[in-house]
Order: sequence, then structure tokens, then C-alpha cells
Amino acid sequence: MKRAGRILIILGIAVILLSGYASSVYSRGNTLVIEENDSEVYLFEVGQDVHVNVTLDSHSIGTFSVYFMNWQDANRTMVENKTANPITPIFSFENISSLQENLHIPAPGIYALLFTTESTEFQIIWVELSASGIQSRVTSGGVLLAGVGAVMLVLSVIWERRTKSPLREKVK
Amino acid sequence: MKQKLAKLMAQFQIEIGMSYRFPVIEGLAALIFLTPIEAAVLTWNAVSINPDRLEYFVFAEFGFSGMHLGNLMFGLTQLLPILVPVLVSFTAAKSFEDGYIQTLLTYPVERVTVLLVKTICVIIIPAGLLTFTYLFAIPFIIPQAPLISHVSIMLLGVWISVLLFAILSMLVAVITKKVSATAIFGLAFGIVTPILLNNPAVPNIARVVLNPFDAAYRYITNHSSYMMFGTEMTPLIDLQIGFGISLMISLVLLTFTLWLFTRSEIGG
Repeated sequence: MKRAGRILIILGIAVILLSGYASSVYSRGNTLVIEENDSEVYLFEVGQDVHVNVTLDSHSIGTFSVYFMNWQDANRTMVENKTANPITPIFSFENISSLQENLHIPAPGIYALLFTTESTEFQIIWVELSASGIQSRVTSGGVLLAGVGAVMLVLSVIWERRTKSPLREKVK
Repeated sequence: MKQKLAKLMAQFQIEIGMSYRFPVIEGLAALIFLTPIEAAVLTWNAVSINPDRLEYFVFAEFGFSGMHLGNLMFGLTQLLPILVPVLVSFTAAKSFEDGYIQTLLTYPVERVTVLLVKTICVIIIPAGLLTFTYLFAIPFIIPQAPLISHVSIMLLGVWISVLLFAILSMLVAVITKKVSATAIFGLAFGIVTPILLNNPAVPNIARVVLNPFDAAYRYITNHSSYMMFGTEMTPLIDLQIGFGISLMISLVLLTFTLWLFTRSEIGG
């Protein structure tokens, strides 16, 4: 139990360090073309909160709408229902010409940005996503591991002292 | 009955204390736990945009449940056939070579119990660590809930593979009583298995029997890396039959190994 406790503490600390190691800033960008009565889905996988920067190309005019949703809802919208109307988006930004927003990610996973426009002309937009910050779920896992290990270690030390104490008294 | 159980527990304590001294379990934990966890954490650290690939997985029948569960163990499926025999060589075969097994046999326990305890330890430690890795990764690392069927297939693959590799190498250890022979067997097995797996002439079931963990990984990630060699996807029924055959082979080999050990001459 003492050894298992020590191993769990080491693994827990390693997981906490890993979650910090993975917290560097990452950024990616892409160009999309959206048309009237049509929607464009932009999928991405992310482990922590993400900053979204969407801008219209200098040659494009008008407004567009952005819906942030999980992959299941994007799947339902685009594949199952074959509609441009987003199903239960997490965040909606309608009739905008640019977007700079921090999006809170409920859990690491695959998410989608659904773009629609009511403009009669097609629009070219630049989407840039960047993420930073500690992956809190991983950190909490590491803390839990180390905590369980510490409890096991303390319990085993107490147990050892209890079982050894009569012998010590005898020696005295 | 109580006395027998106490004896068995004492045997386990002796085995762990003698054959798995620092840093055997610690090293295994670092390799089996931290390697996949690191890979999984780093997968999710970035905004990774790859619409074509993601669309395939998102809209594919299997979804990403299998992809992430499988990717967690990427690399370990090929490493396990080497790792387990090496562990057997450093724990069981070493005790034959340095004569420690003779000391163990002087204790009031049956021969079969001595080898059975060694075999159980060599199965439980790596398979238990792999299971622990999954149980930790599912709530804390893998995004969203993976399918229960995928988790069960992977864990079955892990346990049956470790059972097969451990018993096979234990048989080699009992026959040769040499650390080097057992380790060389492990390395040869680890090298030969992928060659056989890449061969289109090898039937699907045989592929599952040879490395159930790898077959489970291929199945849940819904692809076959061996496609370039002309091999086909493994259907679920072949996976189930293969698991069953592998399990039966392991149990038959275990019985034979125990029988052989009770009749073999120890020391000299």
C-alpha cells in the first residue's frame, strides 16, 4: 500500500506537469466561402477554451452568422436534418461582419462553427482559432491521483506505526 | 481454507517483494501509464483543424469513440508482445537461473502454487496497469464518453493478450530456465508477429489469435493499417472467435506449463 501510494503520487505529479506542458498557445487559420441559403461547417478539436477571430475578406460585403456547437449537433444539423438552421448552438452570433470572442469549451472534444449568410453574394471569410491555458480536467485528474496516493501513504504509515508500537515498548 | 488463503497471500507478498523490487513496477507504470496519457493529452492541447479527417470520423458510423480509445494505446499494441516476455524473463526466468526458485520450493507450498503465483503476478501487473490507464483516461483525458462496447473490446483484448504472452513466455522460461532465452523469445515474438499480421495470406482469425490487443485496436479504430499489404478489416465475429481461441490456447498452455514445472528438475 505504501509503494502503491508512492507510485500514485509520482504519476499524479507527472500528470499535473503534463497538463501544464500542454498549455502552450496554439493558433490555426483557414479561409471559407459561404453562400446564401447554404451553410459551411468548420470542425476543430480543442482541449481548452478557444479564442475565435473571424473577419470578412476585403472584397466581401454584408453580414454573416456564426453558431458554435458540439459535433453531435453539427452532425444533426448538416447530415441528419440537412438544414442550414443550427440545432441548439452553445453560442450564436448573428448578422455580424467580424467576430473576436473567447469561447468557453464545456469539455475537450470536437466542436463546430457553423457559418450562414443572408447576403445574395458569396462571402469569403478568414477564420482563426487560438487556444491557450491549462487543461483543467487533466490537472484535476492528476490532483486526484496524487491525493489518493498521499492518503494511501499516510494510512500505511499510521498502520505501520500501530503494528510496530508494541514491539518498541517491549524493547524499551 | 483460511490457512490456505493466508499461505497464498504470503506467497504473493514474497513474489512482489523479491521479483518486483524497485523500480520494476515503477518503470512499468511510467511506460504503460504515462506514455499513452502523454500522447492523449498532447492530442488535445491544440486547436487542430483538419476538416476532412474530422468529418470522416464525426460522420462515420463508429464516431471518434474508437479513434480516441484506440489512439490512447497506439504503439503499445506492438510493444506488449515484447514487454510481457521481458518481464517474465526478469521475474520468473531469473529465479530459475539464480537459484531463487529452489529457496521458494523449500517453503511449505506446492510447486504448482509457486509457478501459478508467478504467472498471476506477471499477468495482473501489466494488464492491471493498462486497465488503470483506461479507467483514468476515460473520465479525465478522453473527450466525451466513449462507447461501452469499444471499452469492453479494448480491455478484453488487453487481458487476453497479456494472458497469452505471459503464459507463452512462462512456458519458454520453464523449458529453458534461462533469462536470455526467454527475453530472446519475447523479442523474436515481437518482431515476427507484425510480419505475420502484415501477410494477407494469414486469415483474420489467426491475426486476432496472434495479438488480440492489436486486433481490438484495429477493430475499434475502424481501419486496418495493413490495408496497404492487402489485408482486410476484421469483422466482429472473427474478433470474438479469435478472442475465444486465444483464451483457450492460453489456458491449455498454462495447464501444460504447470504440469511441466511439477515434473521438471530444479537446480543441480
